[in-house]
Amino acid sequence: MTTIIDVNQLSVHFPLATSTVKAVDGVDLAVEERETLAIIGESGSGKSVLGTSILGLFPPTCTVSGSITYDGADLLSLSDKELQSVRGLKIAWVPQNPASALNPSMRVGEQIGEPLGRHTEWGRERIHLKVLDLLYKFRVLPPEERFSAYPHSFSGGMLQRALVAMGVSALPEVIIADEPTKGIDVINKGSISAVFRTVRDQGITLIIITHDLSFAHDLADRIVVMYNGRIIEIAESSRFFTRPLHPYSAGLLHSLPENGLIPIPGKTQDLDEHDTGCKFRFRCTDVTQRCCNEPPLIRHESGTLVRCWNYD
Amino acid sequence: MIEGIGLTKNFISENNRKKHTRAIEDVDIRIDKGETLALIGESGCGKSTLGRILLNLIPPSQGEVLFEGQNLAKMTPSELRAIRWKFQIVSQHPDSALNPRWTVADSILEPFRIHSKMTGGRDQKRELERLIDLVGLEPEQAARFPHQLSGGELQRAVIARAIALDPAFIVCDEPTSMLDVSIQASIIRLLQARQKEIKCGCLFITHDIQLAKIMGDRIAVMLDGQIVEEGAGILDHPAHPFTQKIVSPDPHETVPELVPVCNCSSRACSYLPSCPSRSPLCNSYPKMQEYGDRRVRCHLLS
Repeated sequence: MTTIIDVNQLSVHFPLATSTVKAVDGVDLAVEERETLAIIGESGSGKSVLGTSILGLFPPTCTVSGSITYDGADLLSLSDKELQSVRGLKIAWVPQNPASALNPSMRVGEQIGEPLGRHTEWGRERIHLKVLDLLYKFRVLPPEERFSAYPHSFSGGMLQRALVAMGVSALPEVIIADEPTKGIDVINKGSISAVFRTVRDQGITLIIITHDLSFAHDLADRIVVMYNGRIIEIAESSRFFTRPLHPYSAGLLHSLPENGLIPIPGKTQDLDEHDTGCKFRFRCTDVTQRCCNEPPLIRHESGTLVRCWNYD
Repeated sequence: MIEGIGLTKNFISENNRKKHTRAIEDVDIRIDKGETLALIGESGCGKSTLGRILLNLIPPSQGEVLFEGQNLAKMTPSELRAIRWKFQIVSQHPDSALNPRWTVADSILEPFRIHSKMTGGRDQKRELERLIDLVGLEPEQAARFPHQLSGGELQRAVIARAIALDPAFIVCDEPTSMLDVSIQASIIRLLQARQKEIKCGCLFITHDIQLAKIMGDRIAVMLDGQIVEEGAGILDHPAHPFTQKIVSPDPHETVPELVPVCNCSSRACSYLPSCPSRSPLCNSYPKMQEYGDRRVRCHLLS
C-alpha cells in the first residue's frame, strides 16, 4: 500500500475575541491509495473541517499549521491557481446537503458536466454524452429527461446520486464525501451505498465523512474516530465494529438502536483551550489519574491506534 | 383514543387546478391511550401528511378523525381551541420549530399563554423550572435564543413545549433524523421516559427500522400513501413483500427508489412495479384485511 494523502500535524484554529476554537488539533493521518476511509464523529468534532482542509478550502478567519502532502507537494503551500488543478480534477468533493449544493437555476446535466468543461479540452457534444453515461451509471433515470431538469424536481436520494456523478465526472484519484446519507431514508440508503461501491470499484480512493455508523460499516476499510478536534482511534473496519477500543467509540456503538440505544453520559464540552487532559475524561466511565494528561495515539497489539491510557 | 377512518388527502396544484397529488389514500389508523404506533415509510410516502391530518393541522379530503369519540371536522373553532392542548407535535427540524426572536423559555411557556384560561392559576416560573429539568436543559440555556443552541438541545426544548400541558397525544415526526447517533439515543430515552410519565399516545414517524422496533407497541408500514401492513411483530415476521424488503434490503441492489404513481383513477397495487412475487391479480387494488395479529394489504395472502 502506498500513501496517497499524508496529513501531518494539521491544526485548524479559529481565534475568537477571548478564546480559540481548535476545530482540528494536531491530526496525523495517512490515507492509503485505493482504500475507503470513513471519518466518524459527532457534529462539531472537526471531521468536516478536516475534509475541507484537504481541498485547501479554509474559512477566512482561521489559522492553519501542519502539512498535507499529496503527489509530492504540500497542498497547504500551493497557490490558489495551483490548487485549482488539484480540486475537482485530482481530488473531488461531494458536499453535504445536496439540496443546497447545486445551483437551483441551472440544469442538473450542465452542472455535472462543469468539471469536465473546466479540466478537459472536450467539446460540448462529448461532455453531453459523458454526462448521460454518468447519469445512467448512477441510476439517475431516465438520463435524457434528468439531464435537462432542474434540481428542485429531484428527490433527495436522486440529488445525492447526481452529486456523486458530478464528483466522479473528471475521474479524480480521491473523492471526499461529506455526510452523503444525511436526511436520506433507510430504504434509499441502499442505492447511495451502491453508488459509492461503484466508485470504489473503479479504484478511486474514498474518504467518507459521516456519523452514520451502518453506512461506514457497509463501505469502509478503515475507520477514523474524531472527538473534539482530535483523532482518538484508527482501526480496521471489521475490528472496529466488533471490538472498539476507545471508550467513546464503544459508547457510539452502544448508542445505536440495534445495540440497546444507550446514550453516552454527559455532553461535549467547550473545553478550556489550555486544557491538557484527555478530552473525553469528563464523560468517561473509566477515568484514572493519568487522564489529566492527554495520551498519545498508542498502537494496540491488534494494530489499532487509540488515544487512551487504558491501552498503554 | 384517536382514530382516523378512510382518510384520503389530495393536494391540488396551485398552477394547474386539474393536477392532483394523492398524498394518502384510504388510511384507517387507531392509537389507544398511552400506546405508541411507529409509522415507517420512504420519504414522500405520506407519513407526515397523515400525522398532520390526525392533529387537524390540515383537513382530510375524505374520511374523518375521531378524538375521544368526537369528530374533529364537526367541531366549532371555539370547541376545537378548548381541546387543542391535548395534541402536540415534535417536528423533524428543531431549528425551525421555535420562534427565532423569542428566547427558548418564551417558546416553552407559550402553551401556558395560549391556554391561559385552563392554566391561569399556575406559576409560570415554576412550570419552566419543572419542564427544563424534565428534559435536561440548563436554566441558562433556556434564557438563550434558538440559534445559540445545538440541534439536540433545541429538540429538548421542543419536547419540553410539547409536554408542557400533559397532552393526550403527541405526533413525533422523525424527531432524531437530523441528530447524531449519540444524541439520538438520549433524545429517544427522554421521549420514552416522559411518555410513560404522562401516559400519552404517540404516533412515532420514522424511517429507521431499528428505532421503530424500539419505540413502537405496534408498527405500521406505509407505501405510496397507503398503510400496507400493520401489527405488533411485523418487523420480525414481515408478510407484505415491501415490509420484507425494508427489513432485509439486498445490499447489492442497484435499482433506485420507486417512482410514485400518483394518478387518481383506480389503479393496481402500489408495490406492483417492484414486487418480486407479483401475479395477474395484483393489477387490481388489494384491500386491507385482517390476518390474526396484523392487517395486510396484499393479494398474496388472501
